[in-house]
Formats: sequence, C-alpha cells, structure tokens
Amino acid sequence: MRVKDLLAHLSLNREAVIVVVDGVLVTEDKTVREGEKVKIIRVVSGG
Amino acid sequence: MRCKRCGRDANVHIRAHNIALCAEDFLSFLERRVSETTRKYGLISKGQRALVCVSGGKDSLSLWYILNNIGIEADGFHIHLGIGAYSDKSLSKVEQMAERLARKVHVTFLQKTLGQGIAELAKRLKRQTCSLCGTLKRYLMNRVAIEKDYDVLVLGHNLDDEASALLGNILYWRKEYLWRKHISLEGIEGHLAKKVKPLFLISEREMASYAFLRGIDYVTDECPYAAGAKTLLYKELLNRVEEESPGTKIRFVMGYLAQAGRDGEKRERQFCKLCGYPSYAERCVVCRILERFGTGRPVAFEVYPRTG
Repeated sequence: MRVKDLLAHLSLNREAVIVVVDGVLVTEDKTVREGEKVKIIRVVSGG
Repeated sequence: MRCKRCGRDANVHIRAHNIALCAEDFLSFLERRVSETTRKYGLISKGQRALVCVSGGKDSLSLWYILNNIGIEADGFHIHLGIGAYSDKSLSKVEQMAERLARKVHVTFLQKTLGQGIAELAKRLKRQTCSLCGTLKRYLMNRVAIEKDYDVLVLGHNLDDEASALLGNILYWRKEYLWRKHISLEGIEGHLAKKVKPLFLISEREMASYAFLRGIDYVTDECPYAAGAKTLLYKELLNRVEEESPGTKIRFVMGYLAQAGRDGEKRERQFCKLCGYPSYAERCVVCRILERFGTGRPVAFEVYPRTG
C-alpha cells in the first residue's frame, strides 16, 4: 500500500502529518511492505 | 520520488514548491530559505545580538538551531509557565538544545515571581489562560531583551501559525489586530525590542520534517490549555484547502504581506508609567499583576546551562 493511500484510508490530511517508515522519512508515493514499521507524526500544534 | 537536486530517493515532497528532495538537500534548501528571508526583510543584521524565544516545541528549537547553523549566533529565552510536568519537560528540551549549541538560555519562572502558575493566575484574574499567557510572554520577552541588551527578539511562528491567525482576524474582522502582523516589527529604543519571524514563509510540515531529520528532540505534547483552541480548527481548514490546492497558504500570507506594507497604519504608542513598555493604560497589565501577586522576588532571568 502506498503512503498516500494509507493516509487517505485513515482520513489523515497529507499536509498535517509526516510519515516515517523503518526510521526513514518518506514521500507519499512510497510503498509500505509487510513487516515495515510505520510511524505517523502529527505536525500541527496549537501554539 | 527522486530528489530534484541529486537524483537519490527523496525524503520530503513539498507540494507548494513543487519539489521533492533527499534529506541532505532538503536541510540545505530550508536553511537557505531562512537565510534569504532574514536578508531580504532585514530581520537580523550582522553583528546584532539575537535572542530566540524558545518554548521547547519543534519550531522554536529548530529555528534556534538553524540560526546558529547559518552563522547567526543567538542565545535563547524560555519562560517556565508553571504547568506541572509539561513545563518541566519543555525546560529540559530547551536546556538540551542549549548544550547542543553551546549557547546560553535565559529562563524565568512564573512560580518564583508571581507565586503561581499561568492557569491559577488566569483563574484568579478571571481571564482566559491563552490570552493572559500571551500578555505575560510579550512583557517578559521585551523585558529580557532590554535588560540583557539584545538587539532583536526572534520568534518561531511558521507559515501555518500566521495563516491561521490571519484567517481568524478576517473571519471576525478584528480590524484592530488585522494589520499588526508582520515578519518584522521595529523596536522603539528603551521601550520596545525589535521582533522578527524568520519562519514566516515556512510551513509547519516543513518544520516538522526539518526537526525530524536533524534529530531535534522537542515537546510533542500539546499545551493542556491549547486543546480546542480555534487555531487548530483554522489550521485544519487551511490544510484541507492546501491539500486540494497546494500553495494556497503561502499565497495567502504573501498577499497579506504585500497589502500590509501598503495599508499598514502607523499607530500612536503609549507607554506604561512604571516599566516604560507599550501599554493602553497608564500602568500596563503586567505591572498591575506584579503589584497584586508579586512574591517580592524580582523578575529574574536565570542563565542555563548551569554548568560551564
């Protein structure tokens, strides 16, 4: 599954998060494979 | 996606700029933009003493790091707001960065000066916590810059902060605030320190990417009093538009800057009779708070790291 599709599936806005796969920051076209660890970091803060 | 500069695997895609970059090229791309903004808008001149206001969040800590990395030596200023573990954690992240940069940070504790934290104080004064926090921060930032002889206060507001504040001011037509936002606010000798915002044109997502790639350890918890704040709603709305139409936020803010330069009015300033800082009344709000709640201990700025 591509990161872009994963975010859409989770109803997350691409502008509001960054995605790290196995410790590496990735772009939304990256395909996530079974066994890889995905971390979604929210970037928005209330300030 | 490939890096537009070197062809390696890209790590960051910035749709507003229609560019994908690898980690290394993204870091230099962002630092160069901060450097160019600083020069273009005359934010910090060579030889000026700069003080970065650091909360412990990603933007201000990254900004502090960037400035020192692009040759602008800057110290830090942090306010411990007395919000339990959240404030202690924030201070520890700030101290950590001070050590990493080998720069000092001035720290002031509300608890020591006023005998209570921000939330307790807001309750007793029957004021909204965020609004009182803003008032106290402005006063303390100004005071530390003037007392410690810094030429310019540097704030970590990013593009999303500015765009959301602007949207809020327009939605409610708060004309009294509308034209006051700028990338650089000039100071008045002895009364008001100059304030600048080098991240004005850099999005929150870019800043989070930068902090991650530089391994900057910041406070990820939201301030407990920011929950439900309108800012978050406006940011979400703007991001929904941005997702459909990349570049909207930057066009919104750039358009404002062009307009503000043309339409911005020069305001008549009044100063507090006690502290000399800007005020609408004879005595400013903070001087009145200090008189009522002051513990008798002077407003102090302690220097961290304590060793070295």
